[in-house]
Amino acid sequence: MATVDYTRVIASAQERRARGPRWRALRSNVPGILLRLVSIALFLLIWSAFSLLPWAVQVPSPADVLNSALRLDAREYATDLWLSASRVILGFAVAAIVGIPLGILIGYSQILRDLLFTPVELLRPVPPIAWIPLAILFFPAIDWMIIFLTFYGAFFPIVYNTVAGVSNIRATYLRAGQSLGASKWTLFWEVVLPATLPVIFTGLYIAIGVAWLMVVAGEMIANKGGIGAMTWQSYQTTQYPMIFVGMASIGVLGYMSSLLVRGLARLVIRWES
Amino acid sequence: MQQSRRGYPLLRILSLALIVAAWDLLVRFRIYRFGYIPSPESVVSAGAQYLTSDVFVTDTVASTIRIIAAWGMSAAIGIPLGLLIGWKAWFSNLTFPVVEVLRPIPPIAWIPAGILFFSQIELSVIFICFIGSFFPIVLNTIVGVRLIDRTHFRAASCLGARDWQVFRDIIIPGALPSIIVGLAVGMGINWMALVAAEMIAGDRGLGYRIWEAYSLAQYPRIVVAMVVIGAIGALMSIIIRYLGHKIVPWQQSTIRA
Repeated sequence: MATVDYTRVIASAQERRARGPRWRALRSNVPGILLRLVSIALFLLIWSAFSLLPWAVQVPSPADVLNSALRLDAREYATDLWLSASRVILGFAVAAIVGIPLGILIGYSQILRDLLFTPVELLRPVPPIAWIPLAILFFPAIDWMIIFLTFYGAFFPIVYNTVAGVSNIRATYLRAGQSLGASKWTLFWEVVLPATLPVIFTGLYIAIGVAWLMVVAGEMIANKGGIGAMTWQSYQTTQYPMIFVGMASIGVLGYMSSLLVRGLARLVIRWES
Repeated sequence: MQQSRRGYPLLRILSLALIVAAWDLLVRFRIYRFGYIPSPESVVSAGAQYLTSDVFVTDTVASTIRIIAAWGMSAAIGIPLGLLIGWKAWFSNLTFPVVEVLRPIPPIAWIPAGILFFSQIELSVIFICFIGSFFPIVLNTIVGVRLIDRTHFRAASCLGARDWQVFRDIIIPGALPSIIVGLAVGMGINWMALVAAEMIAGDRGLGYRIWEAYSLAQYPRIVVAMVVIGAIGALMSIIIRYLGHKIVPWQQSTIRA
């Protein structure tokens, strides 16, 4: 830790000098940016060509998809998006509120670990999607069923990462705190929590992705409301271009919520790069 | 925190016993909606019946073949792709934007498109599982290459190594630990995608059995199929972790499935 990686420092200094100001750096990277645009263009071209193949007539072209996206009923679409997003937010929030304290307790105490972590460990290999039928049996309302699924999917990564964070704190940090006379409470707020937060945020980052996956799965099965149901219904009613509009919307929303979690992490844990 | 703890095995057994007892009582006294959930006894008897039937064997074989086919294909395509993206900037610029655009779409959202692409059930299920494991494998491979110490490359070029020698002796062994992590993560997501695909679009397999048990109101069998899926999934991740330790013994601690 204490040694400086001189080669890296020198290399980055040389690079900075070679690049000069920002705009010049941008200019020197023009071939790279062009190549990236070519990449997306090629992808759309191959997709269009693919949709023209005789045995892939059912596959819509990018133009078809764009067309049906433009003809979308904005109001209905916004309702679906908001329904899915609110389910994700609720399930994710409950998972964080329950999972983080639980993970900290399990990480702290061996007794709680044996008592509470054993069932968690046994349940983890069962994919959350396999819980859908039981969730339908248990929850009379579709909303609660889907919120439960997003909660369940998000819960495990949060608990696991929190436990890992707490149990991997460097012993020297704790000893330093103790020898400076910190009480258990101070030790928790000043040492354990700051050291664990980055790992907790890794868990939250994974969890928001799983929550989106679960909301789509639950909505596809329940087939009533939300972006997952919209995508599945587009298939059932043979409005094939709409399938891809749905997929793209799911992708964009998932991506935006990951960015949100990452931004929050940057805000909360400024000491970690 | 406390590194040298040994734990209390009795407490673990107690914990499980408590869970099963709570489950049994909640179902027996029909508390809230637990009356709709199968009881532990009914699950055990349904399990004994299912595990000795031929359907169990055909389901397990069908699901395992799908998983292995999808996983193998995503490794065969994803690892070389990731190595090249991590290594050559021009190749990264050319292909990585597409990977980045498609990656946020979860495998479940590909189910209708998968059915559309492949009219056959078998191929669409394999395709959806392929999507599930492809992205973690590609991304972990790229990270593996990018994390290789730059001095290795400089040393190699000082010693006059050719491109393919760099690839063989630096890129591949350097990225291997991260690739194995990607393979393990991919296997986990594969099971999730398999269950979803078989539930929605399947004709057989363990995920399909869960859904069939639900629609035929054979509720105890739902739990049996869940347990079997969990057990096989756990077994596969143990095997991958074990093989990972064998393949990269110099990196013991980083491999966590």
